[in-house]
Amino acid sequence: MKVLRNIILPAVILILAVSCLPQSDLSRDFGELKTWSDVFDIFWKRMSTNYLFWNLDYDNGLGWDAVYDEYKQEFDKLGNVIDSMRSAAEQKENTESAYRLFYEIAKNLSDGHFALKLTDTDGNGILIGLLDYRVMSRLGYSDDDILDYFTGDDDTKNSSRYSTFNESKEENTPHIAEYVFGIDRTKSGIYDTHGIHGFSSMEYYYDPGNNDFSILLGRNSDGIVYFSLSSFFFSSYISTKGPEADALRIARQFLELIADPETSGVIIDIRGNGGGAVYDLSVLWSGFMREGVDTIKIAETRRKAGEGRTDYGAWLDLSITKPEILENAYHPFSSDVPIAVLVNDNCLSCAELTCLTFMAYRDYHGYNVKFFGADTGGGFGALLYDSNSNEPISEDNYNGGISYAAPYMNILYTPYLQTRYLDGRNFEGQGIPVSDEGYIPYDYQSFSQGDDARLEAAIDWLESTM
Amino acid sequence: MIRKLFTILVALILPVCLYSSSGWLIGVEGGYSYSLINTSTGWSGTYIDNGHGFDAAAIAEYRVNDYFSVTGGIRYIMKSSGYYKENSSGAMVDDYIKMHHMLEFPLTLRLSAEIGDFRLYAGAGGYVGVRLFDVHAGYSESLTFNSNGNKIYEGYYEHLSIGESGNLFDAGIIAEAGVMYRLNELGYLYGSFRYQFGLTSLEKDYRLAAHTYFSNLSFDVGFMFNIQRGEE
Repeated sequence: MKVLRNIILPAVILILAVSCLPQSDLSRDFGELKTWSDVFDIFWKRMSTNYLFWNLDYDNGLGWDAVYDEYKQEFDKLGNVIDSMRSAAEQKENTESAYRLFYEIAKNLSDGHFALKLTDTDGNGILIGLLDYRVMSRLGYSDDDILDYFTGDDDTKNSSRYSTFNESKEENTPHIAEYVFGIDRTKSGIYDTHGIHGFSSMEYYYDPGNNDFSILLGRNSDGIVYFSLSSFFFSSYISTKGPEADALRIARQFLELIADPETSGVIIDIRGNGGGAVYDLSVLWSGFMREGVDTIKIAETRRKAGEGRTDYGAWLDLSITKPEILENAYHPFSSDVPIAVLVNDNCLSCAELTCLTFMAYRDYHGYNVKFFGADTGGGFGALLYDSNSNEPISEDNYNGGISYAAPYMNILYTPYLQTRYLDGRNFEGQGIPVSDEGYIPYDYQSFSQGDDARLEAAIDWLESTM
Repeated sequence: MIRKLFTILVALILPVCLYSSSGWLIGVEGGYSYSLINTSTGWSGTYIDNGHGFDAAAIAEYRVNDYFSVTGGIRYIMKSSGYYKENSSGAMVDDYIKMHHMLEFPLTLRLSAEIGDFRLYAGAGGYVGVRLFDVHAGYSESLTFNSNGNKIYEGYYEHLSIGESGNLFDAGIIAEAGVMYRLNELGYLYGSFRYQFGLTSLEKDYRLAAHTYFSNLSFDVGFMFNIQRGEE
């Protein structure tokens, strides 16, 4: 009996203990979603495994458990997503209570791309976007104002209550073309711009069939090249229309102009540019490489190495390389030519990678680069997304990022990859800061009358270097 | 009364026994370690394999008598696993080795038997330790495009700091067996086989943590120096 108690029993307990090492159920399958608690569970789990920025958020990810503890019981109180016993008003109120909880959780995240689209399938939807949240907060909107915007229909979003925010979104290529240079922003062409800022003519390209992609290019009488683009969609033309597509012809022209000995300065205007294809960075910004240089490193990126919240893989180089697709388009650029980059708080993704590119040119290759405008949006991640399907291509291909949970979680929009600058700084959620002397406040009234203070500051600086 | 007498007797006899065959040995060993990984994942196209590594240790052994000894020491061990991820088209996205460098403090109780100049032993015990740092080495798809517009694979060997969700504490149980050969007055040449069962995960214990445990099969060779001997 003593042998049993003193030797065998402890041995059995030890064996059982070691064979029961804790292991989480990481299965990605889920059953039918019925309650808001079910939806929260899926959202919480997907965030735990897919979200990339736990190194920045919620106590390095360990505070995410406390979010579960706090909010689970709140979601439990809301019952079923759809309840036939509720009136339409009660249904809406119940849904909006759920949306408020998701909003409270999400608004603290650093991910500049983050968006969460939910629906109760009864006509009540919400699209939470953290870029818009941060811009609206800076403009003085309260959290309640912003929540109402996210849950509102188009009439609400376009109402006078949000005019300041909507006006801030007009600082982009097509509106610069119209307000500053008097161009019809719905029509491609070469326009007589009557010497505005020294530009006698500019070429404008507009493609309503490609996400309203627009480009503006010209060189003024002082030799300053101006190039503005609304997003990074040149790659789509390469793949669908070949290297002779109109947009690529303009890109080729841009590359010729910046290397021309008559060019005295360059303005890259990416205000309002929300990003696009990473390959476009190589297509366009390789044009600034010196003779003998074919590739430069601009940043570092990493993905997750497992489902652990801060289980990251190695930092990999992100470089731009001269592509062969635009044959003979690249000529050596003189690093003596100053470059002004115009940015605002709606610059995101590839627009911000563009900023990192020109920062690399400045900091590591001795170029003369200056930024004008306002701090950028703070979204440097890469995403894999097919707008035409709900296939989990980001999860299948990169073990992270965008996720779906039909029918109530339409999309959890978040990157599978994060980026840091060459010196190790991570600007996610904060944006790239514009220096005090480069910061120019945005005045919509003046801008819409053609008075673009940010463009003028850039031109003044370039002229001062001549 | 009888129990008290028995206790006094043991207290008197034991030191005599200890002194008559006791002694200290210290030595060094090193060798190969095979890591058996116990983990799970919910991701598709993701494969995690056992890995190869090595260890090196400084060991001290106190021989209580001819049959029992206690060993302790400090061991550096590299535990590893292979990580392979393919995309939905079957193309490689990641193919690298994860190496976890640990510093451990083992403690075992050994039972030995001498046959001529050979000493056979078997033992059991445990270890505690600390995870020092990780290294990832291999290839991964990067976001960089080559001149043909294709993404490139970057090769790397990179030291990584352990994230906040990572567990730095390492502990487990040990079973070992070995053969020692008395080379000369100086000490013993030996080979040992060791099985370590890890009780601690690489991740802290939070909800939905992707726990990873290592067990290791190690084969080491070493030399133990006699530094203190009782009468034999």
